[in-house]
Amino acid sequence: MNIQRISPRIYDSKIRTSGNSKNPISIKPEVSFKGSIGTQYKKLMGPSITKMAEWFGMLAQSKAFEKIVTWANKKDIIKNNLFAHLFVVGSAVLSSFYIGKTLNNEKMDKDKRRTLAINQGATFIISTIMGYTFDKKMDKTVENFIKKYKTLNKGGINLEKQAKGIDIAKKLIIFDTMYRFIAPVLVTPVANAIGNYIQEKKHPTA
Amino acid sequence: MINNLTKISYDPPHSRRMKQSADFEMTGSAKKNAQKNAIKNMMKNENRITREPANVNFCGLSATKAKIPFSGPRITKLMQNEKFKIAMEKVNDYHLVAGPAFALILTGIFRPASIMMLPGDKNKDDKKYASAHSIGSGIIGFIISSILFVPLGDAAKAFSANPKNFITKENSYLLKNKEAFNTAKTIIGRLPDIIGSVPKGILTIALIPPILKYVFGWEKKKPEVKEEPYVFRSYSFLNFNGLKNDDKKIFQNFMGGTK
Repeated sequence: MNIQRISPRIYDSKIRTSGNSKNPISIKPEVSFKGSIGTQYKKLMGPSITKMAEWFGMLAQSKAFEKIVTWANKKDIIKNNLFAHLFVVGSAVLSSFYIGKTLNNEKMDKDKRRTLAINQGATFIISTIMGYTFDKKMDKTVENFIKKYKTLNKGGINLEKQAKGIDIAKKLIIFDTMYRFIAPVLVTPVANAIGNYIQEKKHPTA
Repeated sequence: MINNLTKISYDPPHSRRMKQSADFEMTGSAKKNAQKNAIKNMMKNENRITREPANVNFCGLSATKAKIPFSGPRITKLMQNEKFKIAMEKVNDYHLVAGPAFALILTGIFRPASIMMLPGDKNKDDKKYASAHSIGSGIIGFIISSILFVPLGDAAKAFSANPKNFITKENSYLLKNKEAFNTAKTIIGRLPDIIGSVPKGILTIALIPPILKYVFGWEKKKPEVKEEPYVFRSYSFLNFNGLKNDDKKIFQNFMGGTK
């Protein structure tokens, strides 16, 4: 007698038993941990998600937001690469927070604080320029990739969504690599070395 | 008959010529070497990719074959992979979490590896601390983003899937103009990241030291201060003669040296 394992995805309360109708064999369903978290999450967060979506709706209908949207739609440079611009804005906010923290750090002397803050700013600007450059260079390649993807999966469900996901993934990979890898590993040491050199020239030791 | 014909091996004319010339002029080991060289040359020539002759084309376009991008079997397989499709859908819906997830790979693997590998003035302990700091910041960033941004991503998804449910005004610009709606959707999608970046930064700064201490067992060592041996110093050279209670200039100008 074959006892088939019921996969959690197709698990249904109706198929809890197997075998003959006279001798039913109960099968313990493989309960997916992931699924249980998903259902729990939906139960817990469902109302708050709806509330948040309502807030988004209210925000989108506000006059200020409408002005921002119409302004962004008028300019092609902003409209065509909006996701990347918003990513950069997020990073700019975070960088300015760190720069502010450095400038208010009382453990360092004033000159060093200023040099370090300038370094942080320069690192952000260089990484941003590099990010935009690579993003533009990869545009054609990703466009071809998406074209090929669409032809291969013609008629697929959520095809547009997936194609957009590929474009977003490209931007995330490029900008994340610039801010989280290239900037701290390659740009910051160079900027620090330049800062130290300027500092030493201003106040020569020995 | 056809099978027999296909079995006939083809000798390229240049190799035949080389063989014949070797037969005619040389004998013994020199002949063998010449034959070997001839075969080697032939093999090289067979592997060499020759440029295709340009065909005559009367329609004004080049007849040479253009290289088709992404036509390899591996890429085709990847494009048709169901997991890849699901991953791209998730990236589209939860880009607020996908970014920190990719950053976790960078800060957890690549950055520590390059910090340890790159030459620098820092000593090994400092490098290890910097690596642990990088991993810690990546983990914290990912966890905070997952907790904060997954529900927000779901809310943005719900808003963009059924905008009519959440837009109360009937004559709203979002319902009239599809382009405006798409722009609004993108801005709303990224807004939590912009607003949440500062609290995320504060939390990361606050959580990194305890995580480094209790998870990695790392604590940044303070530079050791060497105790100087006691040396008797005479302060008789300090000159306080002529000090008056109201004379503030003496204290202002006092630099600690001899007068």
